[in-house]
Amino acid sequence: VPRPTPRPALAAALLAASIVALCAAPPARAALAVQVSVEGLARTSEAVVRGVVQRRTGVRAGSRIYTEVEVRAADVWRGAAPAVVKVQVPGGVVGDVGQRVDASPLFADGEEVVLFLARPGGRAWRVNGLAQGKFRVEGGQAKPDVSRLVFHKREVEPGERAAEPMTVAELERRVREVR
Amino acid sequence: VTRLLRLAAAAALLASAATALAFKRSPVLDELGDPIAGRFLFWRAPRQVTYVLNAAAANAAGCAPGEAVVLARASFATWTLARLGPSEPQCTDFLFLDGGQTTSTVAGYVEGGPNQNLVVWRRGACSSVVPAADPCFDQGPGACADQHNCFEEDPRNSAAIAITTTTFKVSTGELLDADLELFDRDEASGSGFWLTCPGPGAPPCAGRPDGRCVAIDLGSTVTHEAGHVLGLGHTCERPNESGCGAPMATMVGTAAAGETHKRVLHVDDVVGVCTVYPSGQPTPSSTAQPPTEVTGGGCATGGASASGLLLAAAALLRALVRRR
Repeated sequence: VPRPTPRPALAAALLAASIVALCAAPPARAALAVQVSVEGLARTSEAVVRGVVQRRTGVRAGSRIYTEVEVRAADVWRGAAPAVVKVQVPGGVVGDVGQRVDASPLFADGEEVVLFLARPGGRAWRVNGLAQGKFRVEGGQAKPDVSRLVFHKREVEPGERAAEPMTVAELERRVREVR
Repeated sequence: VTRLLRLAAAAALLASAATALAFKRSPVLDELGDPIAGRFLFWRAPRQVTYVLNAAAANAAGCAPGEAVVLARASFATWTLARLGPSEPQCTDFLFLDGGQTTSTVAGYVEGGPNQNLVVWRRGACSSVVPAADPCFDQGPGACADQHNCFEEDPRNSAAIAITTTTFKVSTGELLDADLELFDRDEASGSGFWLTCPGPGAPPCAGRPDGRCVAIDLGSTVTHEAGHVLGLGHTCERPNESGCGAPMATMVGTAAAGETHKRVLHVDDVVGVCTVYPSGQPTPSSTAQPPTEVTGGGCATGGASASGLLLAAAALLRALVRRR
């Protein structure tokens, strides 16, 4: 079956769209999620730490790739954690193969972060709430990297605040006030 | 003068089309997790991606037996059948091929294979259904999910509803594998979300689905995630954000409970898939060139590719003018 000949108008629209797509700011992939609160994250975390990313290593484990992120904890706001926390984060790069798990947070060397951490099965540390459980700290502000999440709208509990940009001081206060 | 006027008119048309379009492509991330300028994810020719379904754990309250599989298949087909209007031809030759159903629960990618592009309904949160002593917790993220068909990516906080895992070549952006995990409601453990099948016109669910209401629409969810599998990013993060050119697009990054409109592609989604995979034409990308920074122009992308497209656009404009 011969392919239909592209129409000029369509071709023009497609070309225009190509330009727009290439000129746009780099977008992100996404996972579908519901918004959680800082308090909810804290309640379900075994530790909440503020620290600095020291090193990241891509690891292949069967069909999966994950990144081991080493964070030197400067302060533990809740629970208990070692001085250097090794966190397993889904997705990463090994050689020329990359694997991206949507909703998984991304890290940079030297980045100051606040992490909500859990240990499923009591073993390796993972970020609780994935991208919502990792805040980047900069200039007194704490900001979760949720640009790759598609949110189904859900209100957080009264008095609580969603995992969204806020001052570090407020984030710490909210975490420490959780019983 | 007439020729110049026509050229100006064509250019204005092109420019107006550009401002009205909003779709975006997903960038390749480097080993640091940073987007590589001008390098985007894509499936190589012949652009035929076979997916398999494992719906054994689909809940029966939201969808009638077998309905979830039918709706998921229709959601993938929506992209393959993309066209700009009822009388327009299909504008993409990308094909999602139905590979049938499987009992596999393993996501990810193994070099040398075998691999499958898996759509799997997980049964309960791993933290709820897997004994703490299970060795899978020592085997890295994803191990428990793959071995026990549970939803693992969110250890404690039931925040994620659906997650897509893509594997790709960093050097080119070529997609190698894509898997979609759905965190459907598991009534035994009380974890997960109600994914439902009733479509447009059905009322939002007030509680447990009864087969006639919409909680989180499975069709919209799979159609949206399939767009990510294709290599598309978010049109915009919020439909009401400033400058969002297509607030009703399937690839908008926000969804409301009870909505079903993302099952149907918006023209912006169609232009997106038909731009990345145009019928009979190569995927526009800059993968043949190392990424270069373009400064001062506001267009941070692969210089070679962008220039090429601009030249192509100019050539197209000239051709359009000659035809008139």
